[in-house]
Parts: sequence; structure tokens; C-alpha cells
Amino acid sequence: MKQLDRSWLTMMVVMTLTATAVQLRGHLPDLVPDWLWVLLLLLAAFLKGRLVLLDFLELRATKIWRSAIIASFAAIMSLFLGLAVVPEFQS
Amino acid sequence: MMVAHPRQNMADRLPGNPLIWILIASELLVFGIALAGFLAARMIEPQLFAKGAQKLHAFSGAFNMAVLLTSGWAAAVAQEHSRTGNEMWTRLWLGVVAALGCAFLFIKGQEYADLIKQGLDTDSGTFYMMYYLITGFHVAHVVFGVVVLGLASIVPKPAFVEPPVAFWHMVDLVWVLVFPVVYLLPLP
Repeated sequence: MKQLDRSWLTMMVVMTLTATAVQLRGHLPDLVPDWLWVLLLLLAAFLKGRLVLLDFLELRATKIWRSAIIASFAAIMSLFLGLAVVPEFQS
Repeated sequence: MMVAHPRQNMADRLPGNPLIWILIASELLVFGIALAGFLAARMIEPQLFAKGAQKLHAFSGAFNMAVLLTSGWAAAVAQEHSRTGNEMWTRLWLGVVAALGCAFLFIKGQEYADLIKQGLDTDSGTFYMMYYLITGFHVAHVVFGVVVLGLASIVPKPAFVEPPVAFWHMVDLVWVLVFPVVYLLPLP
């Protein structure tokens, strides 16, 4: 199995786990604290996005660009995380 | 003594055309700002956003994620075939990508139709205005992507296939961000 196939499979597994967790949370809303839930959702998105960048957009073989682009992507996700967790502490 | 030119070191070069990376960066910036705006608006009206997200089809969104991720994989396979000069397989895989893109649009269309039937349109509050704006802009990118992939299949050479494939991966990456932020995070 090639790296591309492994990445696609990993992304599908992460997506399925996320969908299952969303279903579970619908029935058991107090299973995990809201801030942790937000963190897990964005972490799953980061994992998928990172694999899209590395293997679909072929950044894995590069050195400087890979680090710079993944760091920029992580910065965007951190901004989202910051904006998303604030209401959880407000309520 | 031979000195290697920096451009000869593949590890320090961006794959593909640098212009497509400028496009990808600018598109990600636009969607990033839109999604940050969505999350900022949610900070002001969390209850309204939670109510709005409950009406969305999270399952359709997740299914569309699977469709787009698979289409991204198929696009990468098409690109590999174009590099080995296999025109028939390149066309075939580009066709698979375009078909999956159309499947995404069909599912999204069903979701829009259902919401509109319930009277939930762009005038139904901040949540729906931003939902239609962000997802509608993404849909426009999917339509454009399907068209350029179709055009690339006319001349399935790497120079013609790589830019639309990279654009498609950007569309894929944007949905990876849009789905959790718009569909899942506002849920109570």
C-alpha cells in the first residue's frame, strides 16, 4: 500500500470516528466537557488537513515548505480553537 | 568544483506551479477569515448558532466529507497516471473525480432544498446568512473545479492536469475546515 492510499484510509477512519462521536454525543451530551469536545473536533480536522497537504498536495518530500505550510495551517486551527472555546467558558 | 543551484534541490521546492500555491494560499486566507468571522459571531449568539446547527444535515456533511476525500485521492491517482503518460487512465480517474464532485453538489443541493422548504434562507438570521455564504462560496469552487477537471481531461498531460488537481485538493482542504466549524462546533 502506498503512502497516498494509507493517508486516504487514515482520513476515512478519522472521519468515521468523528461521525460516531457526534452520534454518541447526541445521546450522551455530558460524556466529555465542551472545551475538550471542541479540541477533539478541531484536532480531527487538523489531522485530515495535514494529510491533504502532505500527500494529496505532495508536500511530504519538501523540507522548508512543508514545515512552513503545516505551521501556518496549525496557526489557523489554533485561531479557530481559541474562537471556538470562548463560548464554552462563557456559558 | 560544482556548486548545486538552490533550485536544483527538489526538497526545497514547492511541488507544481508556484502560481497555484498563491491561489491556494489566498483561497485558504479568504475561507479562514470567513470561518473566523463565523466563530466570532457564534461567540455573540451561541444559542442562536446551536439552534441553527441542529437544523443542518450533519450526516450529509459527513458523507460529503467522505465523497470529497475520496475524490481527492482519485485526483492524486489521476495525476500519477498523467505523469506516466497513461492518457486513458488519466481521463478515467479525472472522470471519477468529476463524478464525485457532482455527487457532492447533488447532496448539497438536497440539503439546501430541504432547508429552504423549511423557510430557512439567507434572511433567517446571522447563522443561516453565514452558513449560505460560506457553503455557497465553497459550492462555487466545487463547480469551478469540476469544470476545470473536465477541461484537463481533454489534454491529459501533467502540465494541464496538475493545476486543476491542486485546486481540487484545496477545495477538499476547505471542506475539511468548513464541516467541523459550521456543522459540528455550534451543536449544543
